[in-house]
Amino acid sequence: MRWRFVARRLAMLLISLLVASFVIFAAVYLAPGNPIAALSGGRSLPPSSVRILEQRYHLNAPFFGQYWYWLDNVLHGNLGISITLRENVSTLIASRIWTTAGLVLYSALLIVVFGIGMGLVAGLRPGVLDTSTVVVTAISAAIPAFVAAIVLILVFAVKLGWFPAIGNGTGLADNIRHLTLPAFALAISSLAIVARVTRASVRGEGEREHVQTAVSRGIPRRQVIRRHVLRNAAIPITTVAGITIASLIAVAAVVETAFSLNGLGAYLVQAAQSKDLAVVQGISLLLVSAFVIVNLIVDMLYSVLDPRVTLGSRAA
Amino acid sequence: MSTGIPTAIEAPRFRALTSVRATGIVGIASGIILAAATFAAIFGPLLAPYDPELPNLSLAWIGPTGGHLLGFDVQGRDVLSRLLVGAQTSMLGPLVVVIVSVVTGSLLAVVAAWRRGAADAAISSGLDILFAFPGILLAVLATAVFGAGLPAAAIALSLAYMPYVARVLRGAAYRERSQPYVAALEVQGASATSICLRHLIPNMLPLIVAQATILFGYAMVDLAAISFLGLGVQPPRPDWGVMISENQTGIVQGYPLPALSAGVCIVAVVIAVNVLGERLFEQAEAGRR
Amino acid sequence: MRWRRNRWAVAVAAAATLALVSAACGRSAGSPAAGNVSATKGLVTTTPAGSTAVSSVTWAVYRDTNSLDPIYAFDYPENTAVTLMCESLLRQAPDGSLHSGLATLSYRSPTQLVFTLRPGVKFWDGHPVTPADVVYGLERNMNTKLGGFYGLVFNRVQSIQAAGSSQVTITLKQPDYWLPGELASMPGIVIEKSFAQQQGKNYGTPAGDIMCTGAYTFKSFKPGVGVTAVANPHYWNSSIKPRVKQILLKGAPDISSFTSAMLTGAIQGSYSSGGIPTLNQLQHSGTVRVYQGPGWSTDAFIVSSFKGALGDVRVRRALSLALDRKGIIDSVYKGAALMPRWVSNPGTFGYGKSVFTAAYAGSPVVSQNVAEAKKLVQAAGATGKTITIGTSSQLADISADAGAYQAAAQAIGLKAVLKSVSAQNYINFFIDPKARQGIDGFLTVNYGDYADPAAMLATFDLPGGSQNYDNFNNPQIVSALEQARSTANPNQRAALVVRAEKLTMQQLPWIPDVQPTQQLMLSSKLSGAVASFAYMFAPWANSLGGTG
Repeated sequence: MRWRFVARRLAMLLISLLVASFVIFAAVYLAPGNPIAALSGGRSLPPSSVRILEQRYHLNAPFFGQYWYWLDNVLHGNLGISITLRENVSTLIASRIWTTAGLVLYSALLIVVFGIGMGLVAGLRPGVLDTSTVVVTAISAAIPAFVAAIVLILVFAVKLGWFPAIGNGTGLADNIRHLTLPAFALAISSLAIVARVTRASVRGEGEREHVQTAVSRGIPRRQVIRRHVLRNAAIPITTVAGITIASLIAVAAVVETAFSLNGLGAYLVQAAQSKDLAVVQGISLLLVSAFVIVNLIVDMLYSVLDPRVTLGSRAA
Repeated sequence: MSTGIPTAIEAPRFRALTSVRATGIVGIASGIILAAATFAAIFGPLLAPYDPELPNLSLAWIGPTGGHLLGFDVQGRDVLSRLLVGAQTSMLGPLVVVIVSVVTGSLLAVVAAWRRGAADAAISSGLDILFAFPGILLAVLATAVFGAGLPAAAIALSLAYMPYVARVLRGAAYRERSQPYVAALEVQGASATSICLRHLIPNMLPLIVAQATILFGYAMVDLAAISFLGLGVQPPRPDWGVMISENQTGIVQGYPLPALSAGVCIVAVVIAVNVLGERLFEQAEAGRR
Repeated sequence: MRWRRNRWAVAVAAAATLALVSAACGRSAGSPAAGNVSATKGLVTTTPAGSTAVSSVTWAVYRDTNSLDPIYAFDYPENTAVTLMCESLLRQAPDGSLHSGLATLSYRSPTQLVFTLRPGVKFWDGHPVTPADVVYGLERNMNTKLGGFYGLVFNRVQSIQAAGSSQVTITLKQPDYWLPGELASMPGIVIEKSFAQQQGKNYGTPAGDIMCTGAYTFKSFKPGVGVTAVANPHYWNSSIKPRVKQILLKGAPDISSFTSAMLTGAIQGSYSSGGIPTLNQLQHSGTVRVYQGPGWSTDAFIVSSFKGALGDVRVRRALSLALDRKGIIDSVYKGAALMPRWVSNPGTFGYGKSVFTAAYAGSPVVSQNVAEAKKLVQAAGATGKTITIGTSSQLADISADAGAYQAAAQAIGLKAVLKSVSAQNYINFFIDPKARQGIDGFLTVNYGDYADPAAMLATFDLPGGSQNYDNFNNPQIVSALEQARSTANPNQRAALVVRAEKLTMQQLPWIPDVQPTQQLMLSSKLSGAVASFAYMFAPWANSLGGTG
């Protein structure tokens, strides 16, 4: 039973990736002007460079043939060449991928630890803590990552000097220190949402009949919370945590730009501004794939936690 | 926040966003903020006391004085005037995104729910594939191809949001579809189109409006982020996202007010919109029961 | 109970926001944005040599370096990288005077220059520098297929020949007293012929390698990371011992990130390539020392198209008269710039000083006169016309300059439209005609290749000049410059260049904005970097080290 579900989800994943790759590939043709103009980003090119571009992208082949060549290259790790730096896009990506991965993972950790933690505390202990959590999260859920970034820079880097304001640093410990403010900026709004959902789910579960019954039967509160409340609350909590973590992949671009981090997101934005289409395509493909895969994992996790789903019924 | 809209548990999550009841001071404050922002969006250029785009470097970074309530920005322009005029793009952009994505999303949801079977599967699969693109990514791709600017970014965001709207409304559309009055109308000979347009959608309207309101907040944040990145509204045009990016250099120099004021505007409107959206969701849920 | 707590909590939140916002008050109207920087006093050209070893230094340039090949190096990041590791035939001292570099120059006749290589000069791989290498490097500049930037510099050269084991003779069609200056700059950089031929197209790119003679050896060139060089223990000049083990040249276009990084020590040094609006923070910080040296560059508006409203010299003059230069000096340069009298910066008077200084003092300062400017525009019938200015919103100083021009244009009845590109793409305005399509001009902080006002003038006043974008050709200016080039006597040469400057100020193919001094921002733990603009053409880190 479960395998059919997994197989279906995997099939959807592959189709999503294929279509996404096609859209990204076709971007060159959607651009105004001819493909050469798009690939050169509107720069004047000497005729020899134009011929090279024509060869590399098989521009004289039929449309789907070109797509096939491009896809074939991509699957072999050849993502083309940056027109501004004349360097392999894959090399350019490789040197930046750990910054972005580190940032997203660090943020994800913060969201899980603080988001779920705060939500649990607020949900299980009504009172001042609860109310203040509600207000704080309502406000921080509305703070976009780049606004959070400038406030954090102002308070923690400029006024207090506790953290560096830009760059990646050298060595693992220094890297982590440099990623701290960016990770918080990225995590703040998602953290709030996860905290809210955690609190609401835990509250909701706590009020359920079978939980009340267990409590009235004298079962220790801790056990009740662990066995009944948390287990059932885990479903929406995991789902929302997973989804917000997936969304980090895209928003990382904004935070990386604000903190001048040398990551994929910031580079994607620069390439878009410089009209370096090969780089934009390469990084977009990578980020979209990561996003789709993370969402798939979330779906799988959801199915593991909620047995009803694997029996074939759709979640929504 | 771009793809924070979840797939599986929309209603409970949105309801959970504010248990601070939308009555009392919070509700009133939200209403005032939204009214002010809308007013500024429409009348901004008339209200602005000074030219929002004329630079005067000698006045750069001067704090609040005289008729300049929020001081001057990086190029010596009046911050308050820029905020007022910037409200136009900052509010209208998200509005366009919301209208386009909600209209297309609702239509797709209704068609999927009405036709069921193969059509539903096809639409749902198509939307599933669109889910692969987070809003910001699609906007960056679009601006790389079509050039930086609000139109490309807004259209890209609309496309990215559409599947979420459709997903949420599909469930509601199914529920409506299975109501007895629909069968009754069908028997009477009413066409599918008229039933959908005259009954289905109007009955779903509370939910649609609630969804649209929440979506407005997300769109505002995403569009401001794209302008902040330099791919949306182009400087020197005033826009809250652009203002944060232009004036970020002031923070390190000890002049954070211009950047912060723009940030506060964004956050205030998003909070207000979330509070309002919550209330509308509750009403929609209550109405359904 | 709960409602009251909510209200209280919300009130606290509102108060916090208000506190944050009100703590953020800007500067008061009367206080100068300039701080206490003087553009004329306390200028230095060098800093005391560093005495202790340092393991690594991160040095910032305004954007990522895109080439290490000297024929393609015509902007700050590339020059800074090349001069760190490579050396030229002749060398410019920090004060702008010309000296021997890898070779000494002697004249057999006004049209025959003989370069004799110094004994013992060798490349990093141990091979000696031979005349063949020198000839190869010079001819590379002239090879139109390679598309190098400095081809025009050699247009009076008839032939270049190796002679013997250590000499190269350059025979000229006409005397050319600019050539030595150029050979003390990028066109004169010496690279190893066999190595470069082997590298082919990859020479100087991230995919390839370079082979030079300097005190710092190339280690890596990674786009997005930067250019890394390491100390050369086998440097041919044994009296110089580089003290920094590793130097990383990193691109930092965003001024606030750059400033934060300098304040926290993440970046330990940088040269200003334009305005540094955060100069005050840097000067008042304990971690950074700011040195000011005489400037060689000019912040200017390049008129790239004479087909639009700026084709009329009256409109150009009007724009210049209406510009608020004081605002630029205060806001962008924090006082570290001069009001212009000529297009060239007085810091470039590397010869004929008495002639230049006297003439400069006699020329009027360009000051603001909006009323007169408006009259000029009306006389030219240009009221209501639009000018399009190329800019980059990512480059704070360029962006502020563009804003000042916008204000000036509006003040005199013109309309100004800005066309913004990314920081990485800004260089395209200089090299790509397509990038210049649709704009009337763009901003620059520009310079000549050596300490001579004529060096920069030639690039836009002479037909075919590398920065002459719309065939500007004024016969009187051209004649003065061409004559100067052939004049051996420095004072006579200076007088001719003075004439060219004065005529250029009447015609304004470029509008000078301000003339910046050179800032060297160095970690207070370091010393020894060159403090003048000569860093762009000659090694700047040979004395860099710790302050112990």
